[in-house]
Amino acid sequence: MRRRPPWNLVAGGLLLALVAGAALLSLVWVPHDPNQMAVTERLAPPSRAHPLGTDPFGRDLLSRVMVGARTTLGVGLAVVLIGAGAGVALGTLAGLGRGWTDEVLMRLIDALAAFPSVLLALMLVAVMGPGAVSTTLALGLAAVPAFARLTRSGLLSLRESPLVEAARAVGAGPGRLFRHHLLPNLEPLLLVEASLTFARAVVAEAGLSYLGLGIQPPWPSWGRMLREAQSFIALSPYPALAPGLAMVLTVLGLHLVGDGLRDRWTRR
Amino acid sequence: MHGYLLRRSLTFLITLGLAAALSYLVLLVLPGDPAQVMLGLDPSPEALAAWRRQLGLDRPPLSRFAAWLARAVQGDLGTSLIYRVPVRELIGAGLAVTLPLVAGSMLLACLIAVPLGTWAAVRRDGLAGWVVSGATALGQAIPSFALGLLLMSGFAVRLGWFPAGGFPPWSQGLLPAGRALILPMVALAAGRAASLARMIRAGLVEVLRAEYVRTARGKGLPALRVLTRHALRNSLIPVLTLAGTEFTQLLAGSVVVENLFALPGLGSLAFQAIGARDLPLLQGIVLVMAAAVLLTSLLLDILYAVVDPRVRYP
Repeated sequence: MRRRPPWNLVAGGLLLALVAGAALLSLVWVPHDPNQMAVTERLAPPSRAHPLGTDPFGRDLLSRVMVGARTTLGVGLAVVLIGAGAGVALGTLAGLGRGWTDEVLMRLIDALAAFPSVLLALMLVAVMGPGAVSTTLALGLAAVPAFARLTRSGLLSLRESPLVEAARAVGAGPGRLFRHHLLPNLEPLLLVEASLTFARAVVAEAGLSYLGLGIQPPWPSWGRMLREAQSFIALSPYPALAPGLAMVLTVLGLHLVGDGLRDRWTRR
Repeated sequence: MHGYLLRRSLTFLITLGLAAALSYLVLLVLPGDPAQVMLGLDPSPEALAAWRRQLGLDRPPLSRFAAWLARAVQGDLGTSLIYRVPVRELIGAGLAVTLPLVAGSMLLACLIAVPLGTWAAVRRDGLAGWVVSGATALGQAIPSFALGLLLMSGFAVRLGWFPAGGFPPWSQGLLPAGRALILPMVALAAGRAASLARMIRAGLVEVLRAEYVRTARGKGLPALRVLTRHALRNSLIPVLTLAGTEFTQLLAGSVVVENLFALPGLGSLAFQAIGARDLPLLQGIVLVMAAAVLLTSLLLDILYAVVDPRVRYP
């Protein structure tokens, strides 16, 4: 019989499903046009027409949070794909290459890891201009070292393991060894890192958009919404609460999923 | 120990050099001509050429990098294009805000995390353990700038206990400057404290199951002594290796939080440098921040080798 999955995996999964569901739903339906301004309805508290209230321009907060979820999840997913893709490739090269290849690659990875994600983003924004592309690229680049180090150290410990020795003894070539014996064993570790990277990307994107360097208006983004809400916070807390809560729930969901995956892996 | 120190310091220098090259490479492709930025719209070609020569822009990139690095090693990071003062002075002024902010946040995070994580590990099956686990999971999920916004609206705008932003210089006394740093410090520390507390809890739960802890209890040592001397000390070693990542996260968070609270630190300075395309200033800040991250990881590794002899003799 299959064991019940850990509670945190379930809770995190539910939270993420909620956010992803809202994002997907916003593709086909939103309560209001997220960019429709209505001066008479500025900073309205939650009501039947606007379940989360309205922002300083009278725009519907629920609609904006839903469309913002799309941005957040899209950027997060792209960051994980860039970081994991490049990181696993470089880590494999270093872990299997050893010697000079390993030394040179890992020093480069160390150098890349010296730049905090937001600083890397500031540099790319300076070069490419603000926007979703430079933000995603910078955060993806910042995620590479963690994946590369994890893959390398995992490979180094695996290659001496009886499991790999046995596969080699029955005549598995390097390609088959990597695909069928090494990579599947790294997967749980990489999945945990992916969920944490995703969480960090959500926070960093929001921070950059808050600074005005990330997602550009009028496209809704949670970080940008917080910025717009800031000056009106004494008049109405809802414009800040709505994107803030959405962000916290998303990051919490990602952390819970990461913890759950780790628990499942270590208990095995 | 000496051999390890030497090897580790060498790696530090190589990595720092690589990081410098990397930052130089990225910023080299920056669109816009710094000389043009300084001279404004429509300068005369002669003036432009003169400035380009003075800035060294007419030489090939590699020789410019070599010259920049040679001067940077001597502490000369060039002159800011917008402020027209040495970059070193600007960075020094920024560090006077960022360094106490980041160091204070890290200290605060540790002061919260160690007792909280220990408590959660000791009471892991009780209500306290659950409450701490929940609180830290939530604390980890709140972005520092969002928490900063919340703190600002509560304690600065509504209650007026702290300034809502800005920074009186240190020369006007320690108290007003320190007061301006408290809210941003708390905002930055909370998330790090939560994540450190979770690490400490996880490590301590493992160690408390270990045989030597049982032995120590079995020979009748007081519980508190077993906890602090035997369990906590050993469980903190792996946390040391992760503290470097926490520091990097903290530095990244400080860039946004400094902007939120209008603190004239390195983060705000970098933000201005980008807006004004101030290449030397941005390069200097990037280099100093990368050096700070690498230096922290060097110090942590040395500390790690001091507390765990296995590292020194591989």
